[in-house]
Amino acid sequence: MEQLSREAEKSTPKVICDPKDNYILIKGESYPENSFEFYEPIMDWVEEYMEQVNNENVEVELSLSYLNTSSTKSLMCILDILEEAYQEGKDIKVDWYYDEENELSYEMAQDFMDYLEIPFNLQVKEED
Amino acid sequence: MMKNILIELEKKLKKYGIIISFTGAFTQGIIEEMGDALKTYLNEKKNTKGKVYKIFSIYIELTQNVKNYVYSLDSEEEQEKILTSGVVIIGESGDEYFVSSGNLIRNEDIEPLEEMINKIDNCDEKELKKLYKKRLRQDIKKDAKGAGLGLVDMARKANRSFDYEFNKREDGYSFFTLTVHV
Repeated sequence: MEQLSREAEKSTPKVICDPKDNYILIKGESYPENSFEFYEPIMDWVEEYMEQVNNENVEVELSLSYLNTSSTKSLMCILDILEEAYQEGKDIKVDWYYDEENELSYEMAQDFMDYLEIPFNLQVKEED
Repeated sequence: MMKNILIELEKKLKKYGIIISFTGAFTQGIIEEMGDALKTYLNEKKNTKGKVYKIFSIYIELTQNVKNYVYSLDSEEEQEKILTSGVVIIGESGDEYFVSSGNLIRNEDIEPLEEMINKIDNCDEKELKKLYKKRLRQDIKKDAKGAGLGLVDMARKANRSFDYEFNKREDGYSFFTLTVHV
């Protein structure tokens, strides 16, 4: 599988989907005009990748300071795919980095965690 | 003449505590640039990061709601009419900020919107959280473009209930204004 990556832009986050390192990163702010258009290739990638994962240790790093509601929906879809794989017994861990001064980034994690069994490891973000 | 307009405008902006205002079609580029200016202003005013993002997120949801409404309509002519009717202001009043948006809305679209706003306004924090979760799931399933989730999200971040108004006009449209205090 190919790696998928996007550099951060003003309204879209940095994305790395690396099948060799079993690592997924989404980092930054997200409020594009069309969230689905931005996240669809990432959803497809994660779906395909999860099908081929066996007992590898998959690390998902989320470091998001702001998500608009449509990005929240898209990220929820990605997390649902991860959740399904986790429920099948795959080894997936989510690290959620938040800024102590930005309570919204912490509350976002709480909202997602309410829906999911997959463990979220909440960590205070060091300065960028 | 121009000088008089500026004096008049400056007085009005001061009177209402308006920091940033824009009228015309909200393109993504304009939303982003104004959003940057807003964040810079709020940071310089020594607001906490949490507060800056709260105000910013309300600004984003309001402006993107107008766009979502526009793109939910079929007629291009109608889209253009509504898109160009848009106005957004961000201001300070006492120790809180407010973000207001205004745009034309078809009269037949008023009822469901007003119902939704009233429902949200009557929710306490816990009920809003519940409604948010329900809406998030529903919207994903239906791939909805409606204002539902955005409104609930704003209500969760707002200090108090929404201020809104529909001003009916002759041509089958109303001018809808919505103010969120944060």
